[in-house]
Amino acid sequence: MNEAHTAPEKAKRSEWKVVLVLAMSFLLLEGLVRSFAGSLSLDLLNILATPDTAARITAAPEEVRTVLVVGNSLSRCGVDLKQLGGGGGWPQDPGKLRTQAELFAPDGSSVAQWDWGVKRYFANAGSRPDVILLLTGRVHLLDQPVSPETLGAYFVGSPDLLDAARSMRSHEDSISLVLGAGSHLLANKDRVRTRIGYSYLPGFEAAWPVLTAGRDIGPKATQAEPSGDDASAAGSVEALRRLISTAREMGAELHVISVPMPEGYQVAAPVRRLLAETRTPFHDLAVVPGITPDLFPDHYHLGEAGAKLFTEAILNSLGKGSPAGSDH
Amino acid sequence: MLFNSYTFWIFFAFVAAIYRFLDHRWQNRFLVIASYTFYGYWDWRFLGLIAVSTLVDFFVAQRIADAGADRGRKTWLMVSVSFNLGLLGVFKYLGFFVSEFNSFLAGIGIPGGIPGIHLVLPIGISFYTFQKLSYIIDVYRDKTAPTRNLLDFALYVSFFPLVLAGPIERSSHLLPQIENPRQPLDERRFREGLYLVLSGLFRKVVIADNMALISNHIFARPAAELSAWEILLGIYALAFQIYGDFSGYSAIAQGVAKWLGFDLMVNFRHPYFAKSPQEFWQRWHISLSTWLRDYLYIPLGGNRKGPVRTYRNLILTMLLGGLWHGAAWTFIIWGALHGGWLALHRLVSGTPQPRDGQVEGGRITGFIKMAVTFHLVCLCWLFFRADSAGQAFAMLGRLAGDAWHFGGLETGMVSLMALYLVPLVAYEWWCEKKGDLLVLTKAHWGWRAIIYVYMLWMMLFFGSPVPQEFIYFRF
Repeated sequence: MNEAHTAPEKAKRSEWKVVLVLAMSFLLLEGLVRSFAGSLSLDLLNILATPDTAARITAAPEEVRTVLVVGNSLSRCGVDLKQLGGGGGWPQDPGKLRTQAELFAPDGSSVAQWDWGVKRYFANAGSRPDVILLLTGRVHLLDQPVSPETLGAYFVGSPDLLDAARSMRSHEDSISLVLGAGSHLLANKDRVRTRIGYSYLPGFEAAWPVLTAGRDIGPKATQAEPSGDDASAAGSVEALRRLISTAREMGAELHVISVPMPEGYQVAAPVRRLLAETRTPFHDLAVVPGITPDLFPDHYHLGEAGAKLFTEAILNSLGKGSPAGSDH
Repeated sequence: MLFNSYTFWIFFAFVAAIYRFLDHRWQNRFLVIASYTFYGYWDWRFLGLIAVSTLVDFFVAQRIADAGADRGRKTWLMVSVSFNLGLLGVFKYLGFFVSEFNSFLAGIGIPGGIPGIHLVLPIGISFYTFQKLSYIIDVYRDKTAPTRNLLDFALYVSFFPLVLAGPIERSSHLLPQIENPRQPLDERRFREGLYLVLSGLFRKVVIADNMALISNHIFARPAAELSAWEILLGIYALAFQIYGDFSGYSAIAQGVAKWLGFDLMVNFRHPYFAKSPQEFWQRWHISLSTWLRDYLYIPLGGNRKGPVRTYRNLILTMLLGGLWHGAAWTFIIWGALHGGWLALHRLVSGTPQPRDGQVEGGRITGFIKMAVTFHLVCLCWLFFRADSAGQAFAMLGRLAGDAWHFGGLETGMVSLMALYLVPLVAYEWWCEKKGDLLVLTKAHWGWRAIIYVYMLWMMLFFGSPVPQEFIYFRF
């Protein structure tokens, strides 16, 4: 076997055609992904609908208290928006006759996405909710593997791109983020794989979660809480600090609320320290009386009945007027 | 700066853009700077080590060439060999031997022992040390004239496509390419480089990293929790993970070097189509296997001193080959298995097999030999990858037992392996039949376009969700 170098002369300029075909195929896929993003996942549809959410907040009359619930599927399933809007637990304010609650809760998102997403879709767009309720589960205020491409494509706004790139943990992540901002194909490659896998590959459903277990779970409840100096938590703490600062610049009152999960937990110490330091109201509702494991139909998210109880608990806690930075 | 990272390709684009406007001498200077930047990006603390070891061997080579008497030459040779093996010994093996010595002391009831030593292994040290050793030994043997230009030698040692994981180039092959003006990037070089880079990235990103998901699954759990099918599929996946990872790296290194005007040696020739252990080692990590042959096996006497000495030399060479990978009993067992198998095969077959798989016998015989060879290689990989010999034996125990359950998980593993491996094996079989590793570069451009688009799409959509570092970086 050899590597004989006898390229035919007629192929002299052919390689540029090959490169051109490669580039065209990339652009074709990019176009397809942009055109059919909604078919790839419901979650993407939700993200793409965020500007409408922001517009509804902007359009709300002055006498309406606008509340933006920020979180992920835990918040989406865990909060009854109607009840939250219509509930009577809100602190009395003569200028606010009623409440309108909106949701920004992309699947699997955590503090990095919330930080840049709130800035992009709300702060930069001039959408100013009166209250932001940041609902977090056990690990979502700690570092989680976040796809930089997805962050760049769907959460970071163009004016913040350089800041976001600088905030990444490595040069590679910074470059990925910038590329993601330009290419939705790169940002959605994982969605395509799982979609094809679940649809066409026998046994994928059983094998894939097992083979990839642990890759995006983040710190486990059983693991020791990271200390304030823990480098793994530092990026997330920084993101939360930025989010708090963005909320203040927007003139919004930010409340951080822990969401019940089947197993009780405590929000990590570095996060609690930051909330105290920045005097951000924190409502520790990880354990709510009456919310029992049977109210989590999929053993992770609250069901309808649980959501009602949790929303009631939120309203109660807000109504008590949580002291800044303290557990309530 | 991994080859499968955006950072590397931005770095390379910058290097290539400047490089093409420089004349030969400045190209070499610039490549030394680029190579040290590349190496320092991993860990700048080891820049001093590679620089000092380059200086030592540069001057030792001059002394060897200038020393008239054989004794003086030998003395300088020993200086270099001791220095290089000493570096490897300190960084790679000292901690292992101290720990084994302490275990021995504890075993005979002597507490305490030597304090543990935990040194960070300088990346690529085994590769560039062996490359320097080949230069020094070749100068000693008068096979290579020593270079009188320090920068040229520094480039020979640190050339960025190969400094981290080879191929372990010979001075007689690489140094002339450094010392003489190189061909500019023409159509053929661009085409071959593109093929090598794309096929290498495909093997790394699609094959190796996805197979790693499957193999890591079995090595991360106690054998007792795994079905025999899981273990078997995991070992097959491991075989392709290591192959995809290392051959992919070598191909990218070759491709990148080709774009800069260098021709690096071929490191892999479809090793899993080998029909005997000898043939496997003529196809697998060729730069190491030929190094071991030329600088260890032949000096030990090779096959010139009777069958018993030949078997001893084979086993000894492979044991040291195993130890080259790292200080662990699993690598030693891996080397011993390969050495024992080579010796046994030689005992049974009498003479070495001819090259390039031209074995006697029909198609079915050839296929059986190929399957047997592949499975024996897999057995060796099991020890190579296992955390301990105990883990490997526990897995073998499961395979020998009655835990052959085939459920949804196993079905999924087979589906994923088929998705990734069937096109690869079919393509490599075609290349094998054509007897040309670069056959696709000579096909009509349309075929290349189709296959490259397939590779690009697979890399985009089926690249592993967990990118893995190249396995051989840790050696």
